[in-house]
Amino acid sequence: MISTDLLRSITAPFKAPRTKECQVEVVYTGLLRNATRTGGEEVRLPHGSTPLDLLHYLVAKYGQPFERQLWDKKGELQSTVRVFVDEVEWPYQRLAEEPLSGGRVILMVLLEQMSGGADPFIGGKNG
Amino acid sequence: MKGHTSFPAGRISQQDEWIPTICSICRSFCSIKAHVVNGVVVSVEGNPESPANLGKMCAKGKAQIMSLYDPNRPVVPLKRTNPEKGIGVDPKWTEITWEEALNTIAEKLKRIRQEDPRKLMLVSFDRSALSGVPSAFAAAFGTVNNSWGGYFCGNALHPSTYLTVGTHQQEVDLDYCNYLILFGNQLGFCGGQNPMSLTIKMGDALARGMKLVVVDPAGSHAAMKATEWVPIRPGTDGALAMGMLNILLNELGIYDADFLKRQSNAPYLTGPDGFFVRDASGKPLVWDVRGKEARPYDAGAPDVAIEGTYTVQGKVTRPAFQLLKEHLKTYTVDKVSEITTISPDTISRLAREYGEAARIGAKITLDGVELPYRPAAALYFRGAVGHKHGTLSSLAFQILNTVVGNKFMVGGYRALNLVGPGWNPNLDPEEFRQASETHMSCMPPVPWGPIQHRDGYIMSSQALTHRFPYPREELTPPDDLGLRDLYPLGLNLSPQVQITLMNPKKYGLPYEPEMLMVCRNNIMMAKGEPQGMAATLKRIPFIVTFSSEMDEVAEFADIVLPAPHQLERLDPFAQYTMGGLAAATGYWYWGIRQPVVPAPGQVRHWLEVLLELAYRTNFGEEMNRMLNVYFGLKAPYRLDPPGKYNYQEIGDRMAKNMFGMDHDLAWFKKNGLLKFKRTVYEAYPGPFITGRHLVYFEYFPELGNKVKALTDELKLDWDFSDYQPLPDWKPCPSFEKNSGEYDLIAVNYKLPTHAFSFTAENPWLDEISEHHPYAYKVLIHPDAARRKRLRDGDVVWVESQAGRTKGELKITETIHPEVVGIPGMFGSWAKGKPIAQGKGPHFNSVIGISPELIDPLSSSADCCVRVKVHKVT
Repeated sequence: MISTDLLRSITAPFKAPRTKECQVEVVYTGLLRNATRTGGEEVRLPHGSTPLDLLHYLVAKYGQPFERQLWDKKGELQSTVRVFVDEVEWPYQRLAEEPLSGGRVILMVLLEQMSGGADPFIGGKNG
Repeated sequence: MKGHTSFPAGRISQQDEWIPTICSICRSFCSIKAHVVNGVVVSVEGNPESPANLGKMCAKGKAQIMSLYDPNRPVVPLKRTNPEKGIGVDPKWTEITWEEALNTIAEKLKRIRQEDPRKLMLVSFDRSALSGVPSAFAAAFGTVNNSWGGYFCGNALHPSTYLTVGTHQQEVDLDYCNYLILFGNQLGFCGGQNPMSLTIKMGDALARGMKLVVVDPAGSHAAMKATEWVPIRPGTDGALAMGMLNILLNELGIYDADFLKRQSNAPYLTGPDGFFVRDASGKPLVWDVRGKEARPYDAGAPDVAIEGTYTVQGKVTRPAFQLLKEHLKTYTVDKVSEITTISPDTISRLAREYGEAARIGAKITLDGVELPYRPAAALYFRGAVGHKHGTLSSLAFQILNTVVGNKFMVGGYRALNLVGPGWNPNLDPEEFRQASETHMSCMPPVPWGPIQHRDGYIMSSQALTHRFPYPREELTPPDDLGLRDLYPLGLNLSPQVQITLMNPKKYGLPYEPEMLMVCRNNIMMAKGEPQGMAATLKRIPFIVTFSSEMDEVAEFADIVLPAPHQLERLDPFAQYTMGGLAAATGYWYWGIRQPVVPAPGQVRHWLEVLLELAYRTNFGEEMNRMLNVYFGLKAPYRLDPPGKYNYQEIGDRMAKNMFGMDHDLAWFKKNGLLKFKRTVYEAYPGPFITGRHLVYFEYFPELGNKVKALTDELKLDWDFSDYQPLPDWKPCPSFEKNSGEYDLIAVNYKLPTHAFSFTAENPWLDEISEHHPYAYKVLIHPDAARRKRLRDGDVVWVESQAGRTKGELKITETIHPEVVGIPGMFGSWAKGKPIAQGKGPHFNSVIGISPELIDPLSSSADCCVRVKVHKVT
């Protein structure tokens, strides 16, 4: 889990120079598509922004329905969230560490079943 | 509309061959071989190569050849032309093409996805590896309403196993067990995990002298083969467990103190408020006996107290075990006897026998490793906990095992696959952490294992966890029909789904379902009383069912899509860690189900159809991405998001992704399965697990407070009284109300020759039931029959306040005197099931579904039903 404190430290004033912008294409799937009512969009972020910065930007833009899919009340990222950058899944640790350099960011939220035993193949939280 | 009346014309075998595949009738997935001669299945046999069933098959599996060639199977898509829906109402079917069916469905899906995807519900009890497809479909589509399953199967059991032993199911080490108590459970009698291999092992264990005690109101097959059958009043098993615990802990002093100190939260010091006393960092404290001070539970104190009173941080504190012992004192043998109807002597004897048989302190050496030897166990299932307050009863059974230190020990209680292939106590911690958090549950040697709660408890590996995180700690207003945030401990909230469906607004849902897709789940027969379910289904405007028989659900469908028989299906890696692969088999194994003959007519696998619908509805790209995640597909086997794949291609990628290039789908089709033996650490991880077992559920009250806050916000009248740190037996509603003329209690139990509702239509199994003395019958004790002036063979109504069912009376002493027994799931009424129609009573017809009649922790339906029995006039 990524704590609120860690998030704050990460999203505190960007250390990277802000002279350039980073442009990413964001793709929403499933529940996030519901929350944003769109399949995707172009987003411009300050240079050096990480995927976590992007998530914060989107939460600010789309509000509670979007936020509840991503974070729990403690400010920890839900383990159902998956983030792909240019088709490569980024582990949770990297979300706060590595800046984006453009490209396509795909955001997914997995679902649990309501009944009938666990999904035999469902994956756990990406390490 | 009807299926082939002669053998299929298509052939996949030229002359004569045996094709390996996997049975799919119950959820145990035996490996079988189909004998196919000139395109016709002439026999099915158990696959002797498979540890799953050791070459054996049950009657259900052998008889499946008859349902394969059932002439009444639907083989083309059908559309309803009669808009009126109801039980017994003719849908007036007309045949349509697949193109028309898929276009109709896709158009509705597109509109719903645009408006609010949550209006789509998916329902299935079809458990095989690729059944992750519906989850991926739901996630990509955007609906949270995926699956609406059983109402009382393991609903109240699974929370207890996840909370205490980190997995979904339970088993017992029959190789070494000497004393086994089955509470409302028929494991080892064609029931439970790996029923064939465990039935063989049960026979061996009984032959070598294991004592088997079956506690059950009905003389089930397990009861009749047991060393001792203990008839019990329904719904009171939890009281017996509490009473036995009281005798063990407070009278006999039999408990595994060493295990409790080192491997449970028994020593955690508890303050007057019921919460643990913690250090500045939040760690629970224990009392260091030698140092005479409180220390964090993980500080390595050589001896800690589990009894007594200690002043810590200015408060009077007691170890959790001390609280448990005091709590149990109210369960005196006389009180428990009055509740259960079991004699005080028997209760005392069972407790003593069980405790002594556990041989606390004994050791055994296996494969050169010295291990604790605890050859006694208590297993429970639906019969004991399928009722209101059943989750609390489940926790009592768990503690009954924990106090004798038998968890994952030789001869004792085991939960299913807490550790995965390759796990051992010497794993590099980082390797273990990553494996436990990242891999898929069916992957080959990846050492998953339990992870540890911040307070030191066992927590399920992410590989096994049904919900993540579990239990849910942070609650928000629910937006799903199961209201999962109002049941943070619940895992299967299906009864609540029906209740919510009748009035979504009451629960704060801003939508009403518009479409239901059903596969292999007879929601009309398998849940509560049918009139209530019919009223529920009428609220859903459009219903699609994938059916291999024109069943009671098809009667309510707008479109019926013909689904394959299990001998016509491809299902890679159908055997999975949640519902099989018992450690008792001694192996890990993975196999596939494959079509041994082509499907007749226009029959299509429903998962293949889901894939096509995703592509037609323009969310194929999202679906492919979800499948990559759900199946853990890595390069080069990942699906290309814009691509279109069929089921076969995905199965092949899965095979190679899991087992390497040498083991593609073709390899599995030829060889059937891959297996390797379990090590002693994988079979008996008990002594080496660092996580602790729970005897005190400190966090329950806090969870209850969170549920209360949420239900207050939603202005709902809610019961949170079961969120208590120690289990209790609480009476079902049947015991709370004045029973009046409803003077008996109905119970249901399984027959080894039937599973679910669909085996009733099989002619061979029907014939067995016709000759079976108890199948198709209503069982009643001679005393009750005499009192009611009823005779053997009378046709009677069994009537509750919710509904009634009709059946032929069988007077027998193999039933508790206060009980009416209704075995199996019979009493079909669908015209499309001419063999099953009208045969036997239908137990679920007496089950009422309402907020007052479900378990407040799990939403399990209450099967403890007051009924009256009277002759049909």
